[in-house]
Amino acid sequence: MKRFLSIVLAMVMLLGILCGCGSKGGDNGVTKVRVWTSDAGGKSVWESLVKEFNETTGKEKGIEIVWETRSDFNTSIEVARKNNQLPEIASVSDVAGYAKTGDIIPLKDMPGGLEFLEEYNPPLTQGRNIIGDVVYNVPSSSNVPALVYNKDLFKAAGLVDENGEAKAPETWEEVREYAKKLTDTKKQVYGIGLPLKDYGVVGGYMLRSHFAATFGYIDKYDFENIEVNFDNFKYPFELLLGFKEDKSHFPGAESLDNDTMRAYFAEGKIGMFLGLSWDVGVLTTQFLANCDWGVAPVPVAEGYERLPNWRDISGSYTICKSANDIDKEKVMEVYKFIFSLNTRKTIYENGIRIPCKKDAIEVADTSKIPPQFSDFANLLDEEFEVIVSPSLKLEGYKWDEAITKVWAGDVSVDDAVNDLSKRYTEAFKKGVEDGSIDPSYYLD
Amino acid sequence: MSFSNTKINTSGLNKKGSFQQAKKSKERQAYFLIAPQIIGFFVFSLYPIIWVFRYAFYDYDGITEKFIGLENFIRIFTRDLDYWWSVVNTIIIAYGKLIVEIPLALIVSLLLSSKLTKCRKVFSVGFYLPNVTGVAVNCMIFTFLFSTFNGAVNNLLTKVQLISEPINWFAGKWSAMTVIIIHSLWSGFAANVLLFMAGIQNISDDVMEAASIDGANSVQTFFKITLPMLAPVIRTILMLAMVNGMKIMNPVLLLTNGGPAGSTDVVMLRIYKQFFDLSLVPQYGYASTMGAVTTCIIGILTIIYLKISKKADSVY
Repeated sequence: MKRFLSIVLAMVMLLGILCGCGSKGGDNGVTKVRVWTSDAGGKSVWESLVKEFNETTGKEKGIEIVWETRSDFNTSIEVARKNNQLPEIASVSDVAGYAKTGDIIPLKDMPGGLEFLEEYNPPLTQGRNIIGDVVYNVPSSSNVPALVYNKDLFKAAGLVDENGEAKAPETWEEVREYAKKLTDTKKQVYGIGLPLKDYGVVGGYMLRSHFAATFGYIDKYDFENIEVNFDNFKYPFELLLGFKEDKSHFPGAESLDNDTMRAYFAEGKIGMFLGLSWDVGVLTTQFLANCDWGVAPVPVAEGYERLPNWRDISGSYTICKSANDIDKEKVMEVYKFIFSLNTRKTIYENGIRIPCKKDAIEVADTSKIPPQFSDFANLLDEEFEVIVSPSLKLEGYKWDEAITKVWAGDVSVDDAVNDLSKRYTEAFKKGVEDGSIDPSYYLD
Repeated sequence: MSFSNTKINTSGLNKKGSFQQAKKSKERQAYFLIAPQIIGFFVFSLYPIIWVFRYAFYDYDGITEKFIGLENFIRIFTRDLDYWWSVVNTIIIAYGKLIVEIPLALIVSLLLSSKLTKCRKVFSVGFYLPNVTGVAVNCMIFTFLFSTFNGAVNNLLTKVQLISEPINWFAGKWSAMTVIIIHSLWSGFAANVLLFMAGIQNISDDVMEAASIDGANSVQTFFKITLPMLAPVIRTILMLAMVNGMKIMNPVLLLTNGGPAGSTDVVMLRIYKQFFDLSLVPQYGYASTMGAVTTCIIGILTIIYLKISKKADSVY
């Protein structure tokens, strides 16, 4: 009996091992193209898009897309990479690393790749889509910033236009004034929410995106003289200290994280916050807003001309080297499907992502999505040049951590700015000296 | 002389041979059973430790490695003040809370061990609940309890007129550290209660009876009998508490994220952030150096403690 059981156990284990062996290509002349994504947003919409493709174009051309959304994407892709079992297309984040090891294929090496790039013509950035002078992937979506405000609180505070509608501030000076007027400690209502516990979000997204319309990039990289300058950070630092001085921010900013801040906004306790387009999903599905809220263009500092609105790029997919083992034309066909106008339009119409190009926004039916989402989409500015700062080996605290130090009074604004500029410049120079950063790739 | 009729008793010899065989077979079985644990130790404990100590001498970003000798160590000992402040913070939290935690755990264990206390099991379960609910839930509760906006602690202090305005607990280093220490106490002291209770239960009733016959009151019994007999247990508890305290990370990450402005950063959180900061080029080499230096610090503190507390083993 024992022997019989051990044989059965051994066979089950062997079967389990063999199950892990996938088969590339397909059956009956149908080529299976595997796509792995880390993006769980709109999973059901993607699945229905893929199903439609498989039943129409896919059937015609002998292609079957196998779409997999992986919650443990980073681990899965690394394991697959080490075992030489990468999917044909994946939403790889470490494009530079994968390019260095030859695990991904440049688009120019794919049949019709150059024509696709010319036709789609998306915004491309060094370090994310382009490595050196080679394009490895393209983005599909963008995140867009805007001032998110509670219209009910604005009306109650008398911050209205001539029609009695809530009027959002247009300058940062007005934001500070409005925050003071909105704050009523007896009613437990505060002007502005600052989630300083998530200083990465405050710095990396809120401040960087909202002050681009005034200064361009907060961290200015000079790729000719190899310098980094943080002078543009002085104004946002001083504005934050202004909110602290006025006590017009939601109390306990140091322990307030982004989710809690948005929850309090939804409850009508906060007048406004520096938002991004992903906040729409949060306020319509996660923390349902109990107030009438709106979206306004990011303010500009007084005396400054409005520059293009910030945007980032996301939703990139990269072709992996396993595509070389099957019909590359069919892989390219799937790649074109992911970035087709219809796909991008459908993703937008379902309120999942704002396309990185306006063509999809212009033809979309927005009747089913929250109006605030299309308000964000209408603020997309294709003129904004997306630059991904080079990664540095930095010693000491980062610039977003500096926000908390200035807020706590540990360091003055000027000292923080000078210290950041010095250390970042040193790290930038080191990176150029050791060859890990090539500034020529960032110059036109 | 004829031996043909002599029966030589060889049964004893056979027994000895089969005994040896059985012994070897049992040894093999034992090694086989502990093999997974030993293999696991080598693969999941020893190998990563060697990895860390190796890469402490390298500039390693996850893809390329470059041997740089002692440069990382020079950086940590001469330029990284934030790391050493995090060590200080860790020592304050780990050792500071022991001043309250150990006496509290001892008193509670005495009460729970006493036959006069009713519903002892209910109290035992109640005290141990924080360990069961998990760090993330506990920290979330504490964040709301100590929140500046409508926090229960502020509301209570305002009601009893100890304060007129809410305290911003997470705005200052020492108030934030207080919250971390209170949380650490609340979630950790029950484990020490159980250890103390086990120690108390090991004290023979005869000894207590003899003390009572000799006329010792409860206070004398506690200080002259109970405490000395608990000395080895106290020694172990203190050592475990210190080592585990030095490894504190999750509560700090969830309560303050090292804030305000990095002033409550603890050493494990610093190492974690150095390893997993994706916004910069990974510096696994330097993070390994931080890990190696921290290991040495914990080791040195433990050795010092064990030397100082050696006498505790011979108290009784």
